[in-house]
Amino acid sequence: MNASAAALRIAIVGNPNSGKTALFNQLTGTRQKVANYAGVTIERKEGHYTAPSGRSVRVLDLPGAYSLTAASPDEEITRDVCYGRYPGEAAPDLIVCVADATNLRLHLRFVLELKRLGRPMVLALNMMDAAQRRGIRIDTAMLQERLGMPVVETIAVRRGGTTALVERLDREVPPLAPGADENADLHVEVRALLADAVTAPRRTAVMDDAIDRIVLHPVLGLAVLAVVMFLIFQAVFSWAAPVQDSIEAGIAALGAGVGNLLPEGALRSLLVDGVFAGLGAVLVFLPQILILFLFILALEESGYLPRAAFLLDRMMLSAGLTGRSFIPLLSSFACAIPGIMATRTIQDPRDRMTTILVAPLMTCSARLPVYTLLIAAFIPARTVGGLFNLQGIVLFTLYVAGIVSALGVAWIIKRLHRDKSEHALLMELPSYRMPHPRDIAIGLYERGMIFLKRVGGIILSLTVLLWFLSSFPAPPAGATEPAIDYSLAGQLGHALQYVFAPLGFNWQICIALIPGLAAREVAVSSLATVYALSGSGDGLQAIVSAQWSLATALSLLVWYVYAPMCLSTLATIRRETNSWRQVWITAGYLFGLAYLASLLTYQIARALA
Amino acid sequence: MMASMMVYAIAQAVIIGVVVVWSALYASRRLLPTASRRAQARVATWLEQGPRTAWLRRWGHALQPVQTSSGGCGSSGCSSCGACAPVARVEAQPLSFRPRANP
Repeated sequence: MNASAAALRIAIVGNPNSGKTALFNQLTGTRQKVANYAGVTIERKEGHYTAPSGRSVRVLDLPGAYSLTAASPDEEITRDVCYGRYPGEAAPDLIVCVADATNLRLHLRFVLELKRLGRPMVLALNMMDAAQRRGIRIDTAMLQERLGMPVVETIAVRRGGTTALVERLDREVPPLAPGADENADLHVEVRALLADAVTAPRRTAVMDDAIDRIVLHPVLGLAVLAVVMFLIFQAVFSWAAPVQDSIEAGIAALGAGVGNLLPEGALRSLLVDGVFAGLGAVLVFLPQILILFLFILALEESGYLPRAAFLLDRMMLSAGLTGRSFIPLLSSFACAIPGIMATRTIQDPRDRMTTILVAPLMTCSARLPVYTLLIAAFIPARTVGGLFNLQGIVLFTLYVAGIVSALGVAWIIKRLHRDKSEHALLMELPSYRMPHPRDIAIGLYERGMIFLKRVGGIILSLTVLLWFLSSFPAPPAGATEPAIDYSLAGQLGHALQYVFAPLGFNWQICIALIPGLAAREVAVSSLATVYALSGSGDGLQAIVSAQWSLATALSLLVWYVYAPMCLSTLATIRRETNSWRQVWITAGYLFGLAYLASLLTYQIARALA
Repeated sequence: MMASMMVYAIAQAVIIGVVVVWSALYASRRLLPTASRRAQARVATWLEQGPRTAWLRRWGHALQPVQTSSGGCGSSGCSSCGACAPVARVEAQPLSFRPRANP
């Protein structure tokens, strides 16, 4: 028998936001995304570790579920794995049920439901540190006796917080005896268990209640949300500038150094005009992306985000969405792909479809380089009202424009469907948690690496291809225009200009729009390469500032609020909806919106100028 | 002098050729994973079959694409969500509509 055949297969199951993925990460050494709200894990994740005895253990991390009666696609995965009905996946040898020790009133119900399956099972009482801080006392031995299964205390976010669980899993866990009465009321059983084994001074934390009185207030809460969002975008501009300047200077010096080493020719052009000009133009936005994610990660860890969803539920409902759409839409600020996938937590198929259709309107981080390039080039860096950075205000406005557009499109979809139904939002509000600096640092490191891998991967490859298309064929003898005008990309740009001229786009912008479909940041590197090959010696920001009109810049900014999303997003929509029709509808309406809005912006701005 | 210039010109052409071909392959693999994998399999099969030399057949065998899944989310081409990890198989969750029961 080989090692993999003898491996113990365990499934981590539990209510949403009980710390299953944090436990999975501790056990397997992986770094799956964790956050302080329900619905982060929407797929089955698999990992391995070797137990102290040397036994191989295969671990499945499953989406959170409140019961085995699945209500959404992600809960169906958990249900099917637990029942052993999941295609290609045998029933687990052992279920590790993770329960939030601070909220056993809710979580024990699912424990009892899982117990009825009769499979070997261990209960991990997670977040024991938080329970102790709140004065909750749990008689683990009593709970173990009453449940008839091993009960282990864990702190999944702390190093060494799962040692007891690992040791327990290494020993034999017998199958559970079937319950005395299969039809017994689980809530009654939970109340009896709590009365015997748990002592809690109060149901909720004092601090949570105090904070919620402000952040969940219908007026004050919205004001707090607006201030938080506003501060984030202010910081993106104000804090990043010094680091950005250093990166820009470093890349320029490196490019000049390499250029001086090589003789004039195609290789020098590839390195200086293509790689250094193109990648350098994108790389300078790393500090801004990290600052944006610093705030997003802190908010995710704190437990504030579900409160924001709760606050916005009424507004989203009037637009045809529900508060449940909030988390998927919020995920789309990083990238539309995880956002679209997170719609699996939405139970109603029509709500899910509407959320998928509007998710690309949320401003993903790939748009940030385009926005900040144009804002820095055209909006003066002056203070407004003695406090606010004007550039930050414009960036905030662009993000708001995306949100308002998403709500508007959702409202139209609801009207088109003649859908009058409303779906109540039932959402668990987690306890507030102080963001852990180490987790934030790891999150930022991973975001930074993802960005750098994109720069060194897809952005580099597309920049090289664009350089090639912009350099060949060589101009004919006696040519008077810059060489790029005679190249394949130059000719394509001039041809596309007929379509985009009413929007104020020149042929250089038209060229950049095409690779921008693969990844939006590539539009910036493409512009840098195209202008470098055109013989403009300055940095991209200076060139844009000098050569474009304000109307053109505004038009391009508006284009990128709606711009047809990247190919990967379209592929994800295809997979999630199982329909090419939805892909074409999404791409078509986004292109139409982008064209119309840019056209209006350009023509109005030109008329006013 | 002429000879060294000639050598530099050839080296330059080779380097640019390699970099551009690598970029094209990388971009197509990331943006059109299924199509590029299919094309790779076709080329590999063509090399493996028929009256080819042993080294061409070996090369074709090595070129056969390995069945792997993309990130945990299954969305090929994406590397920006940060929540991906290799999984055995990607679970598609297509939407299906059922008519609502009349109230």
